[in-house]
Parts: sequence; C-alpha cells; structure tokens
Amino acid sequence: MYQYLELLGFGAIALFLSFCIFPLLRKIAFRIGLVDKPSGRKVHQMPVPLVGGIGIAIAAFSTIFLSSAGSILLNEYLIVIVAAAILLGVGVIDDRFDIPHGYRLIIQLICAFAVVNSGILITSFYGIFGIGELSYNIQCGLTMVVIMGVVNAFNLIDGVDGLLGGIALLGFSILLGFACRYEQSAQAFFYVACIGATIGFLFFNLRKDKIFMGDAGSLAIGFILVVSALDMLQIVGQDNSFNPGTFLPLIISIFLIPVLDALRVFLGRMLNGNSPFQADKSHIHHLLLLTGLNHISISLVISGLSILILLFGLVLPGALPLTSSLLLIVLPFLLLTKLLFLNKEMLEWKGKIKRMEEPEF
Amino acid sequence: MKEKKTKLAIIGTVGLPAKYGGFETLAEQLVNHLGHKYEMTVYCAGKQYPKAERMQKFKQANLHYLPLKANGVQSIPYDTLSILHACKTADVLLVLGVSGAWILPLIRLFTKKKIIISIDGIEWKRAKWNILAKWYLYWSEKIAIKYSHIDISDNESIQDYTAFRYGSLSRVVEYGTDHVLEISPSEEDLTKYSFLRYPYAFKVCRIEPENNVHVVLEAFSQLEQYPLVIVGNWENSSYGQSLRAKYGSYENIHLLDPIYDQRGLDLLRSNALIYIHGHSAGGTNPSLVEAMRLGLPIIAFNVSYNRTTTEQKALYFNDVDSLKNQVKGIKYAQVKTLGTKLKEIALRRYSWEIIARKYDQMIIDCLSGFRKKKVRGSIQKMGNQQLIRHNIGHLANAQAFFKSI
Repeated sequence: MYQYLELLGFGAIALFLSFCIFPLLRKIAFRIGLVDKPSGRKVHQMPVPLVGGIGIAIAAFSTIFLSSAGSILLNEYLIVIVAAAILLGVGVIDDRFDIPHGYRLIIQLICAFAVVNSGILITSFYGIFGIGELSYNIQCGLTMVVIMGVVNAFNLIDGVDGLLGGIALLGFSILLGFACRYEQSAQAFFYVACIGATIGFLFFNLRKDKIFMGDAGSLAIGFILVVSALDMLQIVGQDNSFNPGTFLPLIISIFLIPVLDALRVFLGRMLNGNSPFQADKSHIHHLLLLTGLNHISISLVISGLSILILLFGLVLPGALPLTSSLLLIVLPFLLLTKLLFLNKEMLEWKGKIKRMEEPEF
Repeated sequence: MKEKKTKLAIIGTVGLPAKYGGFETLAEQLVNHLGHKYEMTVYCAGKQYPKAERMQKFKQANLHYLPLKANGVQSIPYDTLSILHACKTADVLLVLGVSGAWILPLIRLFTKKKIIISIDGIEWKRAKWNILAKWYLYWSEKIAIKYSHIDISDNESIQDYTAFRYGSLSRVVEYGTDHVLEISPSEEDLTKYSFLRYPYAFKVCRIEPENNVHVVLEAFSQLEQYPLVIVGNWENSSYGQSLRAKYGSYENIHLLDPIYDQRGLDLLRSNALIYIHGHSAGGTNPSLVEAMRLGLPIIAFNVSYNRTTTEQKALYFNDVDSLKNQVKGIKYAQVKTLGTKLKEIALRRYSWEIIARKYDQMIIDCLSGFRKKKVRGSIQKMGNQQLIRHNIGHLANAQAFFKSI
C-alpha cells in the first residue's frame, strides 16, 4: 500500500515538473525556431512549438532521479537510455533542420542494434502460427525490425492533437500494471513518471496555444515503449507461472493501431503504384477528420478503440487459442477502417454528383 | 383451365389506400392499371394504419400489414421482413427504396425470385439523414443495384449517376400525374382562401432546407406586390418554425399547414398563376410533374434533375436575386404558352397509363431472363494488346457520355 502511495507521489511530481517545464520550453522553441510551420498537409494554421518529447523526457528523468530507481535504471539500462537520448536529440535536430530520411533510418538502425546487443531480444514466437523458439540470428533480425517498425509507426500516427499522447498514456499504464504485478519497482517508478509527464503534455497539447510532440517525441516514445515491452516480455518470460496467452495480447494492444495503420497505409500506397513513403492523407486520423470529428474526439475514438482491443486481449485468450485471439483483436481495427473508407468514398461521390447536378447552361 | 397469374409483391410503401407520398400513389396506380393482369400483394405499415382503417383488399390487390413504420430506421426491418414474406407469396418483388437491400444477396442466393428495385433519388446524400444513415444508405444502394434484376431511376439524371458509379444501365420510369384535377373554386372556397380571387404564386413541399424554402421566402418578402402561398409541415422542425416566425407576418405571404385531401391541394395549385419548385434533391419530384400536368408555368431550382424533368422548358433560379428577376420578368402573355408547353410534356410522359405500361414491360422482361446492360461497350473489355493487334487501339480510350464531368 505504502509503495502505491509513493508511486502516486512520483507521478504527481512528474506532472508538476512538466507544468513548470512546458511554458519555458515554449518560449525557447519560438526563439530558436523549433516550431512546426503550417503547410498543405498539416491541419493547423499557426506555428506550433515542437517540444513535447524533450519536455516529457526532462520531467520524467528528473523525477526518477529523485528516487533510488534512477541509479538502478542507469546501471541496468545505460545503453537503452543513451540510445533513446540519441533518438531524441536527432529528432530535435530533425524538427529544426529536417534530416534526410536515409540518415534517420541509419540512426534508428544503430539504436536498434545497440538494444539487441544489450541482450533485449524476442526469443520466441510462443506458439503463434505454430512457431516456437527462434534461432539467434532470427531473434536479432526480428527484434530490430520490430523496434524500427514501431518507432516509425509512432512517428506516423502523430497527426492530430492528443492522439500520440493518448496512445502513450495507455501504453505506459499497461506497462506500469505489469511492472507492479511482477514487482519491478525501478521500472514502475519510471513508467509512473512517464505517465505524469505525458498527462502534463496532453494538457498543453489540447489547449488553444498548443505544443506538439515533434519527431523527437514520437520517435523516442515509440522507442521507449517497444523496448520496455520487449524487456518486460523477457522478465515475465522467466517467471514460472508465465502464460504467453494472457500476456501477449495485452502488450501487443499497445502497438496494434499505429503499426496496423502504418502497414495498411504503406500497402495501400504500393498497391496504387506509389512509393510507400510518399506522404498522403490516408492515415486513420486523416480518414477520421473526413467524418467531421474534431481532434479531441478523434483521439478519443482511437484511444477507445485501443481500449476495446485491450479488453479483447483480456477476454479472448481465456476462450480461444492464442493465434486466433491475436487475429481477432485485429477485427475492430479492420471494421473501423472499412467504415472510414466507405465514408471517404461517399464524400468523393458527393463531390462528383455536385458537379453532375450543375446544369451546363 | 384458367391460366395462373404472375404474383407481384409491392414492397417499401407506407401502404394503401394512398395518403402519403409518391411511392404510395404509384402503388395505387399500379393496382388500378395492372390489377387485372397480376395477382398483387401490397405491404402496408401497420403503425401508420390504425386497425379500424385497415382493409383486407384494395381493389384487386391483397394488403398485408406488418406492425412497423415505413419511415426512419424502422424502414430497414420493415422492408426486410416484407421481402422475406414476399418470397413465400410472390414471383416478382417490386421493392421501392433501398432500405431493405442488404438482404437481396441472400434472396438471390437461395431463391429464384425476380427483383425490381427503385432507388428513389440519391437518398444517402440528403441532408435529413445523420452520418450512420448516410453510410448505410450509400452502401445499400450499391447492394441494390448489384443484386437486383432490374433497377429503376426516376429521372435521366439519376440514370447518369448510376451509369457513372456502377457502370450499368438503369431503367428510367417517372411518375404519373393524371390523378390531379383542375378545380374551380366554389363560393365557400373563396371565403376560406381569400387569396384565390387574385393571381398568386404557389409552392407545396416538405419544409426542409433542401427544398430552398428560405430562398423562396426571402425573394417574395422583397416582392411585396406578388402574393405567395406555401403549403407545408411548418411545425415539424425548428427550420420551419423559424421561417414561419420570420416571414409569417408579411402581407403577401400565406403559410398554410399541410393539406392531405387531394381536392384541397388541387384547388390551391390549379388556380395559382405560377408554381415555384425549390427542390434540389435528386430525382423526378412528384409535386413538379403534377404542377406541369395542371398547366402551370414553373420557376424551378436550377439543378440537372429539374431541368431534365421539365425538358429545359421551364424558368429556373439559382438564388434569391435570380428568383426575383424571374418573377418580375414574367409576362401575362407568356404565362399561358409556358404552361401549355409543360402540360404537353406531362401528357406525353407523365401519365399513369404510360408508367404502368413501363412497369408491366419490366416484369415481363425480368421473367424472361433479362440481364442488366453494361454501360461500357464489350469491345473495351478486350484488352489493349488485342485491340492494338486489330489496329483499333484507340477504342481503349473511349470516353462514355457521362464521364465528361
């Protein structure tokens, strides 16, 4: 009980710190030009500071170094922390000056490699599609692909206010739940600090004079979440009572929407004969904007969908084999995108009919 | 031995005897004209016909009541159940409206019933529906066209749309008008409606923004010497109530509540000097063709549907100013010729005799194995290589008429 109160206290400290930091960062951002300028594909009209990532990082890390958790984490996860810091730093530079895609991918690859090298690996498929333990080379390759995939998917989903913040909040909460359940107190302190800082960010993100996460924030948060999840998988996997059927659907539900959406978008672009990196307006939040919902409602719809997927993940494995329940948790996402595409097609036809209705005379 | 009649089910109307809109009048007229030839069943909405009013038979047609309403979200189970029931009793299903279309793939799969469906304008686009209804109607229209034997557009402009969207050719069948009557006012009428003594403009419609009621009212509020009479359901929406509050006090504007008896309505419209038609939603509007039949000169809202219906012979307006100009510009001498031209169209095209004959032909066609025609020529299915080999490669690029937009 005492420990939970302590956790709550640390969350509150992180929240308080973020409230102090973000106004300051806003001012600095305007001075040094770390802002997002409006352009055709963006949905805002005024320059917006891109300081969400740095702010969350500063607030969360200052908080955990107030406890003993800071030094434990620094000892155990030095490589991961350095890699996250590099991604954050590179992200900031990218936000300010725009780095070519190739360089960004190379830096991500190096960070992913560092993580794999530190021993955080996907070791097994746990019987999904009938695949079990993996060979070491496949473990390394798969882990790197998963890390880079999630990092970039989180980068792409950051398109409307509150969305990435909401997904991150949900992800850190699930991880916090596991950290408490498996008595990983240092990790628990870290996640609760992240939760506090993310709530602070959301507050500034959803105001009128808002701030954005920036590439720095989306890349670093995606990275922290996926590496934490993989690490948790290894820690939990050592437990004797470990049952992948109850654990995997929950942990996967953190990443499901950003990753599925990115895969869907890439696939769609390639089927249309375009480069998968050709920017367009086909992400799930763009499709939702077409229905006339505002940013906060869109974030709520997608977060709600995440929670629905989470509940599926909680309930289904009890009733079904792991592979089928994993396939089933994808269903709500597919239904929603199907409906959103119907909506998009309908709006296109509305435009065409409008032109048909206009008389030629 | 007596030959067995083909059994026809009419699905999707409120019911008979007709007291509501276009589809109900259509059903009644089909019974009048084809009742001797087919064994008809008309499905009726029990909630809109109290037990006391219900009849077993209407002329030669059987009536079947379902305990539902025919409009709104209930139209989905109403149409669906009607279709399922009709599978037991009928050979040909005439489905009016697309609410129940989702079941058609199953009907096609498990039965050999013939399905004729009328899509009734572009319903999913109408402002009165919420987004969920729009999604459903948009999707069910696709199903309706794909899984019917024959689909009906009530206007050539709707036919253009279905050709463009689905690549198949729809049948155009409009509405008849011979049920409307020209009525000269009695002394009693003149005391009830004092405006009948002088020339006036007339409009009857549902009070909805899509029917441009606000535009018409704004124009006539600026034309004080031109009386205007509008009949509609003013109290049904805040739109209607606010319009009535804003314009009700003008001396030249008379806003009347809905009139449900044919004579009352025909009295008001047949004695008007001009008819104003503000509908912008798709299709042939029954009220427009009925006004044409009465020989009224018409000033209609300028969309393709209204132009098609009136064969470009009416006057048209786009906004308040152009309506004012049209009203002010119209000459007494012109009124007669304009009305006569429109009446000729109505007599030629919009008579129930002709409409019923078209329905008769469709029933015969679908019973004899008719397949929907594709809009694209078969030569375009041949593939580029083959076309080039025959030196007709240019045909691959042919543009259909409806693709010009």
